[in-house]
Amino acid sequence: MSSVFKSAITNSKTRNLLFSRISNLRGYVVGSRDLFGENQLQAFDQIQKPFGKIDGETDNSEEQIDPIYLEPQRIPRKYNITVCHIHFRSYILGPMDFFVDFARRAAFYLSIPCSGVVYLPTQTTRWTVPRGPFVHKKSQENFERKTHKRLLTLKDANKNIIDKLLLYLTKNCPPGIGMRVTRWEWEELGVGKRMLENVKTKEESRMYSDVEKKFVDDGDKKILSVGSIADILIKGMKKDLSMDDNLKKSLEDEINSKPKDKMEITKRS
Amino acid sequence: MHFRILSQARVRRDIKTRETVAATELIRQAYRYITRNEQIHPRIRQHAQLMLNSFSRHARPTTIRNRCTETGRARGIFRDSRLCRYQFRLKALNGEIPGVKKAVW
Repeated sequence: MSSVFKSAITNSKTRNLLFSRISNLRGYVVGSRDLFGENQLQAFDQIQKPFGKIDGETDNSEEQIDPIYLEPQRIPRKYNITVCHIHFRSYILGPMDFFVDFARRAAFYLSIPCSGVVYLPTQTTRWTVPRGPFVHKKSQENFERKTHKRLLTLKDANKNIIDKLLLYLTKNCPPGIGMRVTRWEWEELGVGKRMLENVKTKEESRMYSDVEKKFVDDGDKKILSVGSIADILIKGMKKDLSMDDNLKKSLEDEINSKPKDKMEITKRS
Repeated sequence: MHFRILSQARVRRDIKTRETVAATELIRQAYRYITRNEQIHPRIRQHAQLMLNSFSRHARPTTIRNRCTETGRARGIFRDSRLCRYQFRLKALNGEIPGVKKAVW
């Protein structure tokens, strides 16, 4: 490790880089010793090589390190416009952390600027339960469930590419992990105004067409006052806004079928 | 659900309740709407009230009772796992409820 400190003195920029890289390497290698056996040992040997480079040796062994052992690469954000939040939730930590890492790599290879992992507060739910099936409230037992949460923020990307990423993630998501996605789309200024105008023109055209229809159907050719037209419009709006179709139908049927039964009631009383 | 639970009358009654509630919900709501709407003629409203009474008692959503899916017990049930407290404990100790462990803190 002495070479580390040497390099620390010589070049602060590369030092930071190296330190972060070493810590990552160590994290992966130590954690996965049992899983990977010899491979990880080779990777461990390769840690030494980058230092040599700083000391003046020409060595391109930095490229030889399997990028799986490094922290996922990032694409720098350019405009810093948030496009998508991906929330991960799970009761188990290991698979989720692996999957979040996977998602970051996927984002990198789709050239989406992606944030690091944001650790959201873990949610614990606890239950206290009597041990026995009957009485004996004094001896109880506690159970808990921890929901771990992670967050990734995607920026600047086109919405089609984000669609692709999400599809890819949902396809490859291992069991026991939940994802929730919040997305934002950006439009030009004055969207609200435009939308309002569209709605208004649609409404108006519909209402007027209704009125016209009605008077054509009735064959009514009187000169209409403004008030009468307004009344009809209000009626139409009431109809539209009051209930959904099924309810309206059943209600209408009900009201139409009333008179017969009404007689019965009056007789009874 | 397995046979042991279904053989209980109370459980079957609850299932029936849920089914009838789902089937009659829309019409019942319409009647309720009529009874409470002051714009409608009082005779119609009164009639709607009578019609509401004519439904079977299983049509009322308040008669639905959550029951343990293992034993059919009606008390001490966790919504989350839909089990009564003792079954919850047994299953949690067996590791059959995802994510639930014995808590130590």
